[in-house]
Amino acid sequence: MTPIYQWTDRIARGQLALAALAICSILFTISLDVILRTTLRAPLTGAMEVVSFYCMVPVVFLPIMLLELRGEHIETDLFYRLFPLSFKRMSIIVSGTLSIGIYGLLTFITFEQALSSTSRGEVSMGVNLMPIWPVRWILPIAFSTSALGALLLLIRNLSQKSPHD
Amino acid sequence: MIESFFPLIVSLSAMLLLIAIRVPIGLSLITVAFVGIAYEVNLKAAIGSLSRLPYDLASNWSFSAVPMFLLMGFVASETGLTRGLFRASRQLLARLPGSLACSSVMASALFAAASGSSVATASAMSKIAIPEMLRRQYDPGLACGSIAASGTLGSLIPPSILMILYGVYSDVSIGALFLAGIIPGLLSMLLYMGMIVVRCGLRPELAGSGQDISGDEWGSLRHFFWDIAPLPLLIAIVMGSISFGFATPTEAGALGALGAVLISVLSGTFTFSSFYTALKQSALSFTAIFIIVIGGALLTRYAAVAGLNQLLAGLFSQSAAGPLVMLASVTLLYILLGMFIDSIGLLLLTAPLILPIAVSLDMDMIWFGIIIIKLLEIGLITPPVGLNIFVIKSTLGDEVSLPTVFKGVTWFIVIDIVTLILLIAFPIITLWLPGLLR
Repeated sequence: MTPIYQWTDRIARGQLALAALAICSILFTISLDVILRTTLRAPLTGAMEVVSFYCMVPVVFLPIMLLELRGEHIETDLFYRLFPLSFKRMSIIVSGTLSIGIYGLLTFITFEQALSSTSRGEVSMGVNLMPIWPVRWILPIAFSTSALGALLLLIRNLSQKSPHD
Repeated sequence: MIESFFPLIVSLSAMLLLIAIRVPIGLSLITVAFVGIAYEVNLKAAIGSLSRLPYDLASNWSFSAVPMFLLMGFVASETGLTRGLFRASRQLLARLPGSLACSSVMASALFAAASGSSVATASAMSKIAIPEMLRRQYDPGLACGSIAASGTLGSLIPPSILMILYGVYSDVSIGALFLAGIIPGLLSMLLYMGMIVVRCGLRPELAGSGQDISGDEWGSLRHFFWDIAPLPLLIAIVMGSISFGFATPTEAGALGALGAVLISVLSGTFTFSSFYTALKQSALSFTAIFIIVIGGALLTRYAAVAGLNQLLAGLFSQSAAGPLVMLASVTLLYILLGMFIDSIGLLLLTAPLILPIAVSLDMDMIWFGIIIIKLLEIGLITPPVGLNIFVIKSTLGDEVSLPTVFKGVTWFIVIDIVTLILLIAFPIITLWLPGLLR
């Protein structure tokens, strides 16, 4: 494995670890809220906002890079299996280019949103006015690393003599 | 008329083409819907939709139920809580003809109560039950067929990821959907077991030597209890908290996952590394699903601006037999597309098109949801793809050939069709339980 793949793998695994931590936080925040609400009639204020913004956003977007690097998206390969080698290569190029294009576009537009959200100090509209502008930055970071992951997968697949089935 | 929908036909064909050349399903939906909106409205509208949707959907509270139920299933299997289900089912059903196959079906149904995914159920049970059946000289087709088919109970018996996604999309109570799935799930289980008993009764050679369980393998009552106890507890936590109204589906999922953690701690099987693995698996599975959710939501916008909803609703509402024609069309569509697209992808791909029609035809959306989920599940075991079949094949390697597995599953598909007809003919099977709590 070349250093670039080693480093990107480390970043992807780090992002997944953060997403795992966020899932763990959802588990304990919600459980604590339900337990406090039913036993002491004292719900955890802001639990829903914390889960929706601070936990769900990292859970959804941070693991995409690893999915890209490992090619583990939900896809169907019924026809792909039957393709001759040249068609398989074409599929890989189309799929990789589309992925890089979509993640690139998403990086650009979510970066602009993050900038605008930061400049106006965006807060959540729930019971508490929690600052949510920092969460906005997760999206451009996750999409840009995913674009990098898709690029590396494309290069790796094209450099193989026979593309993976 | 046709000319005005030409761009729509081109875009839907392009979407299927992209999926067929193995572009990830979520990205295929995003690409086609983005280009479609740009064509129908303008580029600014397309960029506007794409910029808002990912963040808005991710911070939608309803979706947080999905990672919690995924976590509950992964914790239960990673910490070994589901390991004893097959053993316990064997003890209970030892006297039936084809007892090991029947036990596999029952164990899968129990596993389904901890797991929201059919593929996860089939994957876990295939590692435990199929090698045992093959060792006892069961017919390989029956052995694999029983696991492939009963794995589909994972989505029908609550909790179910498909039901959560359907509930969010159709604005139907997820708790009501969970309740509605219980009787159809149990009915499927009983019909599978009935078919196995009849077939093995008529042709005992299908069940190998006929001596399924030797005396020394009968565990004590205490072992039986510990093997099976975690599941009723988890079912009670999840369904009890939803049914009695003190928890939302997300909260029920979190309590279920916490319950699985506590039970594994009490039974001494909990390790931090297995918990961390379960957390990582939940995050990865959820993200893979969520990219399709984003694509599906974008496709919904595109279908609306392109007028597809009105076109389809118009087609089905013109005749008095609209609902039946619609059900027949949906059945055909799902069986065809289900042959090569997995169930979550197919649900999210078709929901934007199908759900508005069902609403316009005044169908009961809970009943319709269960029918759709049953159809999606049949797609998991029909050739040529049948995701559950491939899961089993990848577990077993070259031990059993693919045609053998597909042949073995045929009887179960027949039973599924019988179940589907019963569910369509008698909506009370689906609607009785949720009706009790209305």
